[in-house]
Amino acid sequence: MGNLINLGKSELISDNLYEPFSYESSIANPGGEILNISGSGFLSHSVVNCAAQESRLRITVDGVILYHGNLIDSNNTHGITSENNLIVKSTETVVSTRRAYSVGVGQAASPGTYPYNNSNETDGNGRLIFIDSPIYFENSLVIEGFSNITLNYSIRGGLLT
Amino acid sequence: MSKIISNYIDGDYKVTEYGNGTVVRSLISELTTTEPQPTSNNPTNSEIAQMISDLQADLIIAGVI
Repeated sequence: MGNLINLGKSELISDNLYEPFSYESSIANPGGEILNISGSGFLSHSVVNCAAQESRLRITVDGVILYHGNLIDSNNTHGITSENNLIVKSTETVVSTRRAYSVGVGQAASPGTYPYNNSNETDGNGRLIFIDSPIYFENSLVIEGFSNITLNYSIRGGLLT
Repeated sequence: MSKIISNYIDGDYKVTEYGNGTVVRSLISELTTTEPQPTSNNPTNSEIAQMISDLQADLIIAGVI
């Protein structure tokens, strides 16, 4: 919560404002670091997918791995998001494909619980984790994605500047 | 809100530094398609001779030479 400053005349303003960030793009084989923040903020959404190949996502918050999953599935998605982020495009049916911003979420997405750290990086147990509140980081946030083909990613959050 | 004090490119990353010490390194979008390279054309000596001959003919017709 931001600090409140009394400016007089009953006017209050927060001096801690979050600057939203969003990244929607792809990283080429073999992948690597997508985002590295040294500072404070929150993460509300971070998912990856690719076509029928291995995709791995690792999210490290304040030095602790809070999500680490690997998925070998056709065009499916794993990572962390909110159900509010999922929309259905008018040209798609509810059961076939939903969209978490630019990244499609297929019907076969496997739900999981947070935090999720799968130490076995090759067993294809990536999960789609639904969170009800953002993940706040105090000092650092690192998001890494790996694949042997182009990996699509979608990341959103806020930065305390 | 702290202002941006530095904004630069470091290899494949865009780096933004804020006055409060926050530093954001974000991957610059990868190109998923590549531009096709033009095919190289190395004419043979006979083709070059023919082109010169054609050019001379055009110049004669035009009354230049």
